[in-house]
Amino acid sequence: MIKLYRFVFFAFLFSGLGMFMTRAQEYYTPKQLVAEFESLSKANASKAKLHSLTRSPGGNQLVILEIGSEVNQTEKKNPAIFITANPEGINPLSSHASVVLARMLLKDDKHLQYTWYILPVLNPDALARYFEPVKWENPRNAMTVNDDQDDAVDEDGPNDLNRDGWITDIRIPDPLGAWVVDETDPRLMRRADRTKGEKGKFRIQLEGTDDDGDGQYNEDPPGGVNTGINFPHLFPSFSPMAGQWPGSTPEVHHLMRFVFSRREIAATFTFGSTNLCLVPPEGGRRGSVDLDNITLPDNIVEMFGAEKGKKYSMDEIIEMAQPMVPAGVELTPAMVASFLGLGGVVNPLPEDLAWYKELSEQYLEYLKKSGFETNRLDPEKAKDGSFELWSYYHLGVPTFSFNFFTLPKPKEEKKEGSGISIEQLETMSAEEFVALGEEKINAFLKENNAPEQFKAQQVIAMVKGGQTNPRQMAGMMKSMPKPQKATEADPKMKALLEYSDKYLEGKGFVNWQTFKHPTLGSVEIGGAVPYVFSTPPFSAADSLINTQLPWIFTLTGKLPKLVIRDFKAKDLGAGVYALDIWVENVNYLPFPTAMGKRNNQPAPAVLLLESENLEILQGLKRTPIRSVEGLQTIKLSWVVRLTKGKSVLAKLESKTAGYDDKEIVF
Amino acid sequence: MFHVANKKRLIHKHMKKYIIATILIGLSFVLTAQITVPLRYDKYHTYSETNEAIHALNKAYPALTKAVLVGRSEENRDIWALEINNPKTGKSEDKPGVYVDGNIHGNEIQSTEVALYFAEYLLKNHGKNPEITKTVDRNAFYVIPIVNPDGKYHFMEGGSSMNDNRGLRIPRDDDKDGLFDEDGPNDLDGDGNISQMRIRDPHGRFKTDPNEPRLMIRVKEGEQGEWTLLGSEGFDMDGDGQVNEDGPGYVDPNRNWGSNWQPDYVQRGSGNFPFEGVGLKAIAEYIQQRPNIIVVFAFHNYGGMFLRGPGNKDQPPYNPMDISVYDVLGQHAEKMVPGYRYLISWQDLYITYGDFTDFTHNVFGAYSFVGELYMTSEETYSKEIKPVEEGWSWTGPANNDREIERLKFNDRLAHGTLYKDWTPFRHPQYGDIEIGGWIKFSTRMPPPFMVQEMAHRNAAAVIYAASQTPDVEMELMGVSKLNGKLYQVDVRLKNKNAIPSMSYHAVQKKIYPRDILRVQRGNVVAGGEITNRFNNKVNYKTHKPEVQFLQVQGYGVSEFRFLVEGSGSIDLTYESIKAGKQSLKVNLK
Repeated sequence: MIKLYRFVFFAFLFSGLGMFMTRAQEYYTPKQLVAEFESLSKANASKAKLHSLTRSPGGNQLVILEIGSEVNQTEKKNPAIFITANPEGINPLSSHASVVLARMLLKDDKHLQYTWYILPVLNPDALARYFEPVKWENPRNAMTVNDDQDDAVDEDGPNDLNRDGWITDIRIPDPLGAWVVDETDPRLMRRADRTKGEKGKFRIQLEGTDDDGDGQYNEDPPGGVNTGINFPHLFPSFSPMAGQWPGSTPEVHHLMRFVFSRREIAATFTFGSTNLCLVPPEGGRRGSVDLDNITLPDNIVEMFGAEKGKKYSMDEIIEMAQPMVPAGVELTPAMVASFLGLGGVVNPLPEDLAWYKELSEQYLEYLKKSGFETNRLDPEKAKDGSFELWSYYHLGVPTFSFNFFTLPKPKEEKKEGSGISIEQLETMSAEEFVALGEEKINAFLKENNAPEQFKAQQVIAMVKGGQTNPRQMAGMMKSMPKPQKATEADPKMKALLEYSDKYLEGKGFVNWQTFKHPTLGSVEIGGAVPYVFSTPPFSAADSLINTQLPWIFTLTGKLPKLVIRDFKAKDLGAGVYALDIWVENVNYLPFPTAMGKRNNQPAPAVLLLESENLEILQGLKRTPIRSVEGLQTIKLSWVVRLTKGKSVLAKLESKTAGYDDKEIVF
Repeated sequence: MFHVANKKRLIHKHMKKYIIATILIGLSFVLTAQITVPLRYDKYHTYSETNEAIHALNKAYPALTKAVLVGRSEENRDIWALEINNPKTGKSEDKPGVYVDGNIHGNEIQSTEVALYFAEYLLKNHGKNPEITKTVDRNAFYVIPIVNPDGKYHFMEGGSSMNDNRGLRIPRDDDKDGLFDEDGPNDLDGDGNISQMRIRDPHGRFKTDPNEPRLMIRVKEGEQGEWTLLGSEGFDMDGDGQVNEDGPGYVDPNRNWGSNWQPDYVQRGSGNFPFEGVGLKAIAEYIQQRPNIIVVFAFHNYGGMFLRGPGNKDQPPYNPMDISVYDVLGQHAEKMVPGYRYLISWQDLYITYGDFTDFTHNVFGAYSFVGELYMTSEETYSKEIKPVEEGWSWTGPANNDREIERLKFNDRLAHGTLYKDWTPFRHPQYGDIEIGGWIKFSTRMPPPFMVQEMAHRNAAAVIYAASQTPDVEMELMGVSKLNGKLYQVDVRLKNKNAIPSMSYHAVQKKIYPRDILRVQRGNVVAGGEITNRFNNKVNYKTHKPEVQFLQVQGYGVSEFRFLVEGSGSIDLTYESIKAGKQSLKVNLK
């Protein structure tokens, strides 16, 4: 399909040294993905196995391809990586990437130190629509949902009025409309600037008719649930396309069941619209509890003999509560948080953000070195109810994602101004700030909506006098309302036009054409071509993927790996020893993530002393290892009595961070 | 607040030890007697007896009932529903549905009896008692006596304490040692009970109560002790120095539903994801397929409460109009069962996420209650009827007065069946110990002789709620000829009961379509809701005026005006997902 996209692309845009190893001529349909994975598993029976997950409401089969050296074993020792491609079904490039990955893995056995589970598409029903003659980016699966809660289901979707194969927009002359044509490009629309007395001329809505005659347009399109927002973390209850409950659609329910029944899964990757490799997970949501400042409910205050109104840290609370639980039960923050009803974590934990940031910087470097154009529109943020958020917050494993393609940023018009961002201000010294001079500082204040009374002169005096500093000012500026830019055309559309003109001969955008609408009269149809923002021409797919995807191996190489580093047995006399064993995480990422520590969900690591030769006087036969930070070592201690022989075997067992053993010689 | 606090303590206790029997000793397997109708309510039905009872009721009342296999549990036990509907008065889906279940927590077995009693009471009085006949004819009933058959089975037929076997049989590594469910409690003496263990110990912190040799009291500072308590019956099965620290499960079946679900670190026992429990998922789908359900009662034990949501304060409070409806039902219920209180779950009890009744309220728009059956304070040995005020603190009661009274209740009224006297036992790890204490069929549930009244009063509370389900009637207010072929037709929908035709929450959150009033035949030129009956104000709908969407409030009316072009007659139809169907032929003249 999309035959229009057969162009030669400028090297710098879709660059990379990846070879074109394409077999397919076009993006995969859901059925082709299943067939492709089936044939890969048949051709590689010793290291690939196909799992059938479920069927979608539209009757499409969902499969997961398992690749690894243990595919035919039930007890697995290798940690596993789970890949969810195309969670919303509107991103054919990401499904293609899952096939490319499968081929890469099967080509080189060095990858088989991990088990890989690859789901090529979570929403095949939506993906199937990409191949229909009329295209509309619609992430609903085929579950029937009465979107508008009337007396019919799926009765009023958009319509391809001008029969160009695309659902775009219609603009309708309307004195009450909010939109005007942008001066810079007649194809662009922007909101009328009412502050300048400008009047709106158009309203914009999706291409279509009022099929059911209820006065609304396209309000109940075919399909129901977006599988990409049907997961339990921050599940958007009562929202369109979310579904009745988390996991209410079989694709998601069975995916959750599959993942939780494989405790060896140590990390997940999503191929879709977000890019957690490049942009660390978003924070700033309201509602996360600060574990250093917990206010205890009154009844608990009494129970603990604590001080009313005082704020306590989690450690302090554990100290107070520990004597109240039976001997042998070790209170964890998770237990206490649950008991106190502190609620869920909604922002990435700072310890995790630290490594996310560091890795994203490394990734940017990597991309630049590969000659990949990085000056692109931002990837999407992970949505509430998405697989990505679920993976980070509920599985508690390192969670990454690739989006593989967004449009290049439009060329910035040179603007007069300060040239300073708030972020830059934050890192400036007082001297550097003063050195900017009044003109630049005034421009900066104006750009950032500073109140009128704040003039450069005065601010400079305050900084010099020590009443404020650039860091504090930056903090203040961040909390101020953002300057209104609503009257500018959407930068995304600007980028699209530039991209479309340059690489698609203008065919990424449908120019406005008048059309006689049955109920709306004379209107114009036009706008962005569906899928164009996230789906490059197929001829560019392999190159894009081959440039970015190998980073997956760099990241998986950083997953925590635990080894028994050393031991020391101190003879206390009469065969009694003080035994210390050091366990090291030899890789960069922590075991587990801070979130994993908080939710206590990842499979534990255990140090096991084979005890035939040994009586343990103090300590456990199976010692749970709760946490080892990246590249750090911890010490475990026992007091033991050797009953026979000269040595025992210490075994380290972790489904996600590996197995190790060492002979302890006394 | 004794019961509340006590329940909190039990749950807290539970949080610490997931105690479930793994060894099923000998002859607790019951060769069931034939279960026949009328059923007996002076005993507790086992899992298989309950299923027999469902089928016996179905056999005895074939015209009114259906036995439906809802699904299966983790251990592949059946989950059965008994459906009651009089087909002569219409299809079940066209009547307001009332759903009743029990035994979601496996140890809360008297709830099964309430569900069975409720069903049988309706059936045996149908055609005899006019009130019950009306209820049965007007409503559809869906009764699931055992939501958690695995829990019930292991509680009744295996070794268990009164607090064990609540959960689903989904293995969890409670002690994070990489092994699952490897060290649960053990019924060491094989009496079917997981009781308490104590060891004689001059350095212990307890001594025998001088007033009652079966009880112990804490020694004062400087006083010689006699006993150390060793916790629940069991031994260290995995050699880690801890006893009973990783029993079967624990996933709490009342925290695993898909509304405001939170993971285990926020809500203990919630499971790995919503509807991890296969039986629960089957029940959710069963209810989803019966959208006419508008009232839900889920029975538990204990504490004497009728609870409504929300379960937590992360979600906004319920719609104030819905709260008024809950208040009507709840305030009646608490009067029908003396001592029980109508409470708001999160505010008056404790915070929960992912519980069943929040789910049915939020997702299906059903007015949903939890009934917490039985109060230990009903165990009295006293001349007067008095409220039993039992204070409770984290350090335990100051004296054993109340426990002594309970033991007298046990001795004189239950004839020793509720308490196991301390009995010597040779423990594999502790040596000579004693095992004893309240047995599993005590404390949280009445002795059998008290079951029937409890069942009747609670069933009556449900029957009252059923009597208040919407009863919407359509009546013609008038037809008048405007000119030529144009007629004005005014029609009224009137609800004769307290519960609206759909909840305000359902309207507000658009969880399913509102009721539909439709004009068939005839050209409807205009139509809309009469917003002021006295001033003749109509809010006309500009598109498709022949289809109107509405809700009929409790004891309320919704009135509509249609301007119809035509002759002969038109049909007006009313269709509500929960409040049934109505139709009316109107002659245009």
